[in-house]
Amino acid sequence: MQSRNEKEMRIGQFLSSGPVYGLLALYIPLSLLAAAVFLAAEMLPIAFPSLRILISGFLSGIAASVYYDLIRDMATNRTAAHLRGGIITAALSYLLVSLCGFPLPPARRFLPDMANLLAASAAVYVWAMVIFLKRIFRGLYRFEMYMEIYKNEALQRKLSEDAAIIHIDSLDAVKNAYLSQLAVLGLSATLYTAFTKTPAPLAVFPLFIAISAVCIVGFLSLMQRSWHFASEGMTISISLRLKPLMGMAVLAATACALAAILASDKTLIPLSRIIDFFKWLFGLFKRPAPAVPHAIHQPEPVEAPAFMEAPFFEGIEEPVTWEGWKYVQYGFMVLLAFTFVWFMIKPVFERRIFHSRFAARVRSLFNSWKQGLKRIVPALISAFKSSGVFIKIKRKKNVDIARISDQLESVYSAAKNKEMRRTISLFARLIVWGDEAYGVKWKPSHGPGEFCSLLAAAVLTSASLRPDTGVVNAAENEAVITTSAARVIRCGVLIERLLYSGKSISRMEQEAFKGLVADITEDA
Amino acid sequence: MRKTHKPATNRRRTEQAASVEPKVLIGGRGVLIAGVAVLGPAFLCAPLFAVQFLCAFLLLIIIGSRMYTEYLVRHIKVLRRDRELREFRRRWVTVEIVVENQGIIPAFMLAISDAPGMLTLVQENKVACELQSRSRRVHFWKGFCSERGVFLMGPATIRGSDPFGLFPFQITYADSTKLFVYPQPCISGIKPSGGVPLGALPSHNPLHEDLSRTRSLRPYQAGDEPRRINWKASVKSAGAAAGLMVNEYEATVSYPCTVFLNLDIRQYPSIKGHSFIERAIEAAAALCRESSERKQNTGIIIFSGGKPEKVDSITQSRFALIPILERLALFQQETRRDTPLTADEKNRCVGVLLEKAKQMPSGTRIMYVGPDLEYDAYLFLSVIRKFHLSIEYLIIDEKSVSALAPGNMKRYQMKEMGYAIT
Repeated sequence: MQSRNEKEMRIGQFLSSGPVYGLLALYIPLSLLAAAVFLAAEMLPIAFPSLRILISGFLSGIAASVYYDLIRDMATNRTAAHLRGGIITAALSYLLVSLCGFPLPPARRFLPDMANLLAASAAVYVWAMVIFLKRIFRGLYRFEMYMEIYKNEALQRKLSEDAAIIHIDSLDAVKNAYLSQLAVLGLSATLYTAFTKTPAPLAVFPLFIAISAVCIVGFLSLMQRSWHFASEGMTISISLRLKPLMGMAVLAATACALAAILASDKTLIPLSRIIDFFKWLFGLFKRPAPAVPHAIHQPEPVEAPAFMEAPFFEGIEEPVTWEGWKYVQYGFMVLLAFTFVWFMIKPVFERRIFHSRFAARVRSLFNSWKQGLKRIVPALISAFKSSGVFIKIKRKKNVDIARISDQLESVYSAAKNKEMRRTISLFARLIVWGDEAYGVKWKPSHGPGEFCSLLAAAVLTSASLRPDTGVVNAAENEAVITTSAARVIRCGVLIERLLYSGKSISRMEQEAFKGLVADITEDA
Repeated sequence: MRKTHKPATNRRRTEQAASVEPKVLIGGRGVLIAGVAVLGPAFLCAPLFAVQFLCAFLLLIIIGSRMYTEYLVRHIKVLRRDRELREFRRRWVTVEIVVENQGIIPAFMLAISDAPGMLTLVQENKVACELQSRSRRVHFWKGFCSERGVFLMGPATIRGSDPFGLFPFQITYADSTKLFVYPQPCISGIKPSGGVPLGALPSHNPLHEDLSRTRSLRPYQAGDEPRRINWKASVKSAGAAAGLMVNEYEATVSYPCTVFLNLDIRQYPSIKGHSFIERAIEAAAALCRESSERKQNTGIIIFSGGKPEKVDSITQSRFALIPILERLALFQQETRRDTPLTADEKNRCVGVLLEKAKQMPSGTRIMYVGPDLEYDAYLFLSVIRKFHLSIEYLIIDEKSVSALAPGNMKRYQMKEMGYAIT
């Protein structure tokens, strides 16, 4: 039988490196889109292109999720990139749906109509929502990771140091946005059924979305509360955090059962009675109509004086339009179009999209997905197996970082440890990156300089063995690879000075080391 | 080897129920009002099963969550194990609170926190836990007593929520625990000399024999007093070895001690005055504690100077240690006044000491603790010996002082810091 700690460890790993939050970020906007599409299809008397809109939204969500995973560790401002991505996604959705408009001749398919415009709008909506949610859920991922490794004051310190964690506070915005959109949809459906007196065949599907929305909001509230408590220095185990889910499930199930008993197709109080009641209520405040006099002497109408009849602007000529105005308008439109095109293609000139660094980043992303699946799938399988076979789970990157940090820190005194804490975790990140990207494994017997030499050699070797990936300038590529290797060597020099010197290194060197590690691990 | 000192606790540990009604705050009022106002009429008026089901479901979630919260806040209690705690300075003190769930529904993810008051270094004063139905949890947390004084710890706060997080609640129990932080334990290194016969301490001086404490029997030797002969024992031993047996008695002595603590801030140096006063308090506490450990009568007179003059005294008693330490914990240093000290004010403490000395029992050993006195003051105080009292001086000063004060009385100098006073 698995011990309680092992079960809690598995659940913790599932939350911190599994697809829970990624799937939530996809599910929330897609469920809202599906509910809106379903209701629109039922309420509108026309043929609604539900399937195309849903597929367009789904593909846009997948694209947004992959895109965010690729760029999440970049420190630069990504608003312009998000905007470009949304425009490109909308355009692609428009094209895709237009291509699928089979009854229409090819020439007319690309003209704007309801299907492709709605599909493009749905794609933009899902893109924006997924990006917004993933940015906030990234804080939750990192929170789960820290909860696994640290406790008490160390946990409180880590949570206060990580800027991404602050986004958890925006979960209120997520919940409010989600519930308000559901409320708008629900209100629309209710008003439609109430005033048209046409019972819309609301199926189980929207009810399922509404019930699941309540549970999701409850789950997010739970995570938010956990974060509040953890940021005060309280250690919260996985079982403690997930037990309220059982309470939620019991309460939701009880509410479902009672609601099913209480609900019916008949109104308990007819709406007409309520309307009559309000009419009567407002009638109490209405002024009585004035009495009509029996005989009223109607005075003769007074004629307006002659000077009032003349037009006010008589004698003033109409202004003559300037002929050059239309050229100004054309010029403005051209400028607008040029600005738009330049905005869209600007990254191509600033950065080499097909550079080897981008390929390495994509490779790193797929490696992390693969490792996540390797951990999660056996865990799920073993959880369902009744024989309770224990499958050893490979340690995650964050556990490796903590383990390496502990090994390095335990050698020195408390005062030295305080200084080295930040720097050693950065070096541990470099070690783990070296293992993932180039397969160079670190051993405690390796000195930092020795390890960095091995890593630099691996960087140079892999660059020479890699086939040409379409780099524009090979010489420049070689210079970049050599610079990367030199930066790795420089890292080794700085960390050795930090570890073996009795004096602390300067602030400038600390910042330089931090920047070097960030450049190396992000650029690759 | 350093002695470990533990403060005497003179009460049974019983859980103290809260004497004040707790303050309860429940959030989410807007959710309840909006939910009932919107969903209620919608449920009543909607002509469709699905809409009624959804409205009823949401309404039941809201009302159920609210009832859950209301039930919990009425059935969660906090009890304090100790109303008062006592600990020495620079030690860790453990505070215990008991949280009970007297209801039938479990409380998920509660955050229990106890305000540490003026304690700056604390460990685990906040904890997250769950409470099953009809269960209790004892929560311990530690605080470091960095300063002498009396501190209040509390109130205790319980935060929680219903499972959906719609109605968070906070229960605050205003009861507090009073913490007396005694002066840091030190050793004075001063051995008492002299003493009066008939006490609790053994003595080697045969003049101090206590006839009420028989120690042993020995054979009669020439020169022994006849009244020491134990005739009954002598008869019993006559068969074995003819001879008389003589009683031997224990020699005991007592050292009743009164500490005169001069804490007039104006008589201390201007720069180090506050730290010297703390050191003097530690020295006085050490002397009282050592005297009490020897089961001697101990008393204290605390002279604070000023106008009106503040003199606080505790008469000698074998059980006066706790009140003395509490009085020392309660003492608060005054801010220094810039008015110069007149000659009368300088010698005022001497006058007070003499007045109090007249009321002390014979044989009392007076320990003066405080700043150095004037030459004339020492001579003036030497008249105390006329009342069969002895006086010794424990001085704290920036300059070194001689081991004998004017009048040939012993004078010790305190170290400015450290575990040993002298």
